[in-house]
Amino acid sequence: MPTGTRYYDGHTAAPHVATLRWSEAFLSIDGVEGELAAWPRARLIVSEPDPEGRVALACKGEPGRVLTDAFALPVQMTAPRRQRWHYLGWITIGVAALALAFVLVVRLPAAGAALVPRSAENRLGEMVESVVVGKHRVCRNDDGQRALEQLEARLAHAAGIAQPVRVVVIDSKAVNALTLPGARMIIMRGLFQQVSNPDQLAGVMAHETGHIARRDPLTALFRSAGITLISTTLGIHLGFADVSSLAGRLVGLSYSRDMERLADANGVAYLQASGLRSDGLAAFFALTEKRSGSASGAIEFLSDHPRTLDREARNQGSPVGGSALTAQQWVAVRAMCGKS
Amino acid sequence: MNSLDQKQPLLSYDGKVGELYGIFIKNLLLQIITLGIYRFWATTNTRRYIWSRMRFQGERFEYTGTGGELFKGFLLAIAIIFGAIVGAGILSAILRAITGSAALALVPIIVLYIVIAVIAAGAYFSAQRYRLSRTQWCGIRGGMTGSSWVYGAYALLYGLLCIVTLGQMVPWVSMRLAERRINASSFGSLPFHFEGRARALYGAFVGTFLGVVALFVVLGAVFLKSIMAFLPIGHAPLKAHDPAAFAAFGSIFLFYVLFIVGALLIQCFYLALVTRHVMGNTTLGTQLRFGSSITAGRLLGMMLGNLAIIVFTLGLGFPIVLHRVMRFAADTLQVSGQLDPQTLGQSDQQPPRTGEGMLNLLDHGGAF
Repeated sequence: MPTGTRYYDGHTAAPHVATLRWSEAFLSIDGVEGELAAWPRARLIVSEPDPEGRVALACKGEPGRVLTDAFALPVQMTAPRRQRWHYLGWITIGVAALALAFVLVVRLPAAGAALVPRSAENRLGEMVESVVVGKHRVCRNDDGQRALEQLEARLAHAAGIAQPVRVVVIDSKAVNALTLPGARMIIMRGLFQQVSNPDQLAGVMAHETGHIARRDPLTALFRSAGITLISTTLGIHLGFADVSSLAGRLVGLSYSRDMERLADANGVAYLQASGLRSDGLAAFFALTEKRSGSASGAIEFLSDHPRTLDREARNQGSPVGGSALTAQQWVAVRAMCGKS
Repeated sequence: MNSLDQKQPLLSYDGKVGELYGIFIKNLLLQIITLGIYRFWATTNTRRYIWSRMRFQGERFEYTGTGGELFKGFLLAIAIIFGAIVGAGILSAILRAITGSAALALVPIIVLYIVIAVIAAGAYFSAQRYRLSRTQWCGIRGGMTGSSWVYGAYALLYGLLCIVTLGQMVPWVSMRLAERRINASSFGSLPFHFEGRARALYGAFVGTFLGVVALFVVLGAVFLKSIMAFLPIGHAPLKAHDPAAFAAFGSIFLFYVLFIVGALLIQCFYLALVTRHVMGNTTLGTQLRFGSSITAGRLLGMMLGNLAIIVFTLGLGFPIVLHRVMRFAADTLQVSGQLDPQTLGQSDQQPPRTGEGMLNLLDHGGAF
């Protein structure tokens, strides 16, 4: 007999001492003065046991509840639901979850990028380009532009890029060059002033060409979407600092460091394949290092690029090969934004 | 409180952090698998556990909500907001075509923004209605009267008042809103009652306000250089090779974190006072009086500890935090009086069919 079973009728909070009677289709709840309720077993809801080993029974559509000892229930109601399979199930789900997270972050971005049609990528590139260019003046000087395009065409040919690469020079003092979706390269005027010869410029352009060949901008976009998805899923929103998306950002940065390393190595290879000197990138890194001092380890962890010193050491290249631009071309390029 | 009450507190929490971890990990894995949709069921699992570990007069609470209700509420909220946006867009286009006036065509869009703001503000009210209606004790559930639209409209107007007065109305506004939420609530046949006095809070509020302003000024002066450096590249392109830009970004982030955390800690004294005031002036029917023994020091320790746990475990310490919060709440919440089960009748409020949709959509869910 179940002990200490109580019935609450849902009209007042007063407990009624009750006895449970189980039949094939019904649970009858008997009080001191006769039946209090009869619930169809098909609609019964059984709660998890509380620390005293008691469970609450309720019936869908009925107001009352029954509080009783879990061991007093018929076996099929509390069957230890396939305990062993239970744990195995969770382990399977755990492995599947890790695999899904792995796919979302590691494999899917590149696959997703490959699925995007060129036309869509170009439209996206156009959009991003207009944002990046923004208020900056686009520098147009036919001789300089042609020289850059010729150089880029050689590199792109070596990289096996079918689509012509669009090169845009903007009047910004930042020492930077970036790749946008849809085979677009933005070079900032500051870069021309920083580098001491056209081979260093070619090194940087070859690095960016490496990004274009692997469609890195699009892959990075997909990857950050995947990381965002996972970190929002796990997201614990405390209202002041979104901790997990911060962690997500750190993961994203380390992936883009891998992309940079690959682009460095590919860039050097493209230069060699197009018969150019390939020591420009290393020389550029050496120069940057000298001008801005070494970035500390902590900064590298937070940075989306590997440490300059390491990059210089890894991508020495060779001084054998032709110069990237003729002397006249170099003058024209440096004069593109009307400053030298 | 008589001596019997002190031996056996009326309200207690006996959850275990290990069991919370079991639920947390299960929820986490299933959320990853389902790309986050399991969130609603996860919330329900956690609540079911926590409710069942809370006891009042020796009887456990029960959470009767389901994940399906939360999910349906969420879908409903999406449909309503989407419908409102599309409706406003069409209306605006029609007005423009008929009158040819761009200003008139803007009216539906402005109305849409106001409606969404009212819904967002009222979402807390309707979420509380759902939670109360799904909370059972001895077969009796909670309920709530009133409209979340009215609450949302008041919250919005009060919010404007706070902006106009540069925040000086905050204590008054928070008292009025707390009154609206608490006085609309009931448990079974008994209504909650609260009457607040903002005057009691003003001293602490002004002190806190000045403290936060001072913190902002001091941090601003310390980080002025990097803020200035950051401004010209505010909308920086996809990436910047420039390490200086990166350092500037880092220090802006540090500024933000220090300010938010600092402001939170300064507020502890005020928050503790507000909690004591609200709890101390709340009653349920004529039987129960509430109170709180929360102090600024304990709240500060609680918040610092939780912050440290979340940050150093990258969020995986969440069950520990939840456990600490529940223990803290049960420790500081004081209840005196006695509920008579014989006279506590059922709530006459119709429970809502779905819940918290707008809150989930517009605020990304509650705490758990």
